[in-house]
Amino acid sequence: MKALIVDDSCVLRMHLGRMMQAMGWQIVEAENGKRALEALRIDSEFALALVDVNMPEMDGIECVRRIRLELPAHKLKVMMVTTEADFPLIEGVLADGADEFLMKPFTLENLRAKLQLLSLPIPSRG
Amino acid sequence: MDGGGVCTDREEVDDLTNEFLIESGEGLDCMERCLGDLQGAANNTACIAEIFRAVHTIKGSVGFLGFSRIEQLAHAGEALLAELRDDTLMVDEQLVDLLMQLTDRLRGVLLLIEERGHEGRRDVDDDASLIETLNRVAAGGRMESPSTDTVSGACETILDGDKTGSAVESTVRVDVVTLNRLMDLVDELAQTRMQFLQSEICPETFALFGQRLDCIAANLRESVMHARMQPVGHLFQRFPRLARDVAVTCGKRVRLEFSGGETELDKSLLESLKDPLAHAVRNAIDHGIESPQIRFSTGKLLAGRIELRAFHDGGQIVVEVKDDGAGIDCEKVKRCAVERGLITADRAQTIRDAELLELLFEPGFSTSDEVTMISGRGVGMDVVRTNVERMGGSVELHSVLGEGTTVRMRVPLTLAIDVRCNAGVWCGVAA
Repeated sequence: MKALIVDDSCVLRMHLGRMMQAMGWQIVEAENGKRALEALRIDSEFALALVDVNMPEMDGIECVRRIRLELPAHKLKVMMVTTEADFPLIEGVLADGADEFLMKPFTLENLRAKLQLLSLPIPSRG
Repeated sequence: MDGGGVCTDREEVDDLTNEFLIESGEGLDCMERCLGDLQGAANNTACIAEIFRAVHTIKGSVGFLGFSRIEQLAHAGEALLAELRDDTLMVDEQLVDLLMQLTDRLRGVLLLIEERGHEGRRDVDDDASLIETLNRVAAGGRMESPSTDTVSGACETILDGDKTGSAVESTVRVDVVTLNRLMDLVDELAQTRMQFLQSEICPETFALFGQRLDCIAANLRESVMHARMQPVGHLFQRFPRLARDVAVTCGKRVRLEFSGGETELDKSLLESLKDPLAHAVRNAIDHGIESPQIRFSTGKLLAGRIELRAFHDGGQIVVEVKDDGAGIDCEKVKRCAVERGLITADRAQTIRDAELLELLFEPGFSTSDEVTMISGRGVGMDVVRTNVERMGGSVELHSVLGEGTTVRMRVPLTLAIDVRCNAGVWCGVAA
């Protein structure tokens, strides 16, 4: 299973990436919404995008709108990764095409629970 | 695998922390730069958005690492910045001050984490009062005007911070083209070694391989030197903050302008230029730029202008600090020089202005009537000159009474002792 992590913070990408990899996911990283769209356009294998809200160039809100608009055939689940300061924006973006949200800071258990909500398999490594 | 299984590996935690330190340091640099810009344009949406993002990112990632001091500070800062972003609060000088205090505090804690691996407990009480002020201002309350102590404290923080070689400062970003070139040269070296081992040893082959190795070594040195080149703009970026703090302490108004920031210089030379430049900027504000009242009465713009310029000149790099202040009063310099016995009264009658200005580089020479907190007395232009000469450069002073002073530092392009490389390559880099 392949997931795209979209966040301008390298720390967050590293951390989330390790959690996902520990659960057996294959990870691709993008540092803003624009890069994420580029990655999604050339690769339709992604099952999940974990998208930060506040990013330079293109923020997560715009990114999700564009994903749903430009790539309607993509069977991609989108989970917004947010802090409480972003939270007021989340309701809107859930209506615009995001499937779930995950609040920072999160534990592996939180992440696992959210993946289950999205009915995404949680393959275990090895 | 269980929930605690991720990142229990000590090494993994450490490189996450390390990445956090670098990323947060860059975020704070960006924040300081934007705060400097904010002063010029009172309500700059893009600047505020960038500052917000910097604090937001720090807060977002610190939660995973469990640094609670940083988390609390960043949280309070973020709340205040959200008010700014949403236009419920206006930017003013006090607010910029407050946010500068926040960057200082955050930087201090980052430094503690880097040095000791934990956040320290010493100033937690100060944190509480800073957080309280941030919260109060965010809620629309006023703050007490910052005391001068805080401001001068801030000056010291920047300069002390500069002395420690942090993770960020010991890192150089190198473009891939340069790295590829280095890689090619190393390949070439390895190939030459193979050929050497396989060839028959005779004086001719020896000489041939000697030549080839010379050539590779020269190219390697050139490429490494190239990789060490950094734009002077990196250094310039630090000065808006310094200038602002010094100006506040002296009760002056200053506007900093830059040109030639893309001019490149060897990283270690750039580091050595930091102190002399900082000194020149401090001097310009403290002694050069007049108080707003005086500037008003002489018909100048209230905010003094200080220009930092870098450019190529005859195989050297020139870095200038130019102010539009009062200029140096040569008569006053003469009087001081005679009083101090540096020249005789007779000599003072005949000395040319250029020679007179040279006296300012004498140790301990100061014409200021008062000892100020910023420039003090006794440590002056002599230190600037000594530092710059130590790196193989020189310093000149130009001044016109009433119009301003220029401190011009000339430094070599690189540290290379034997620069046999093609001059065109270097110019190509720096242009």
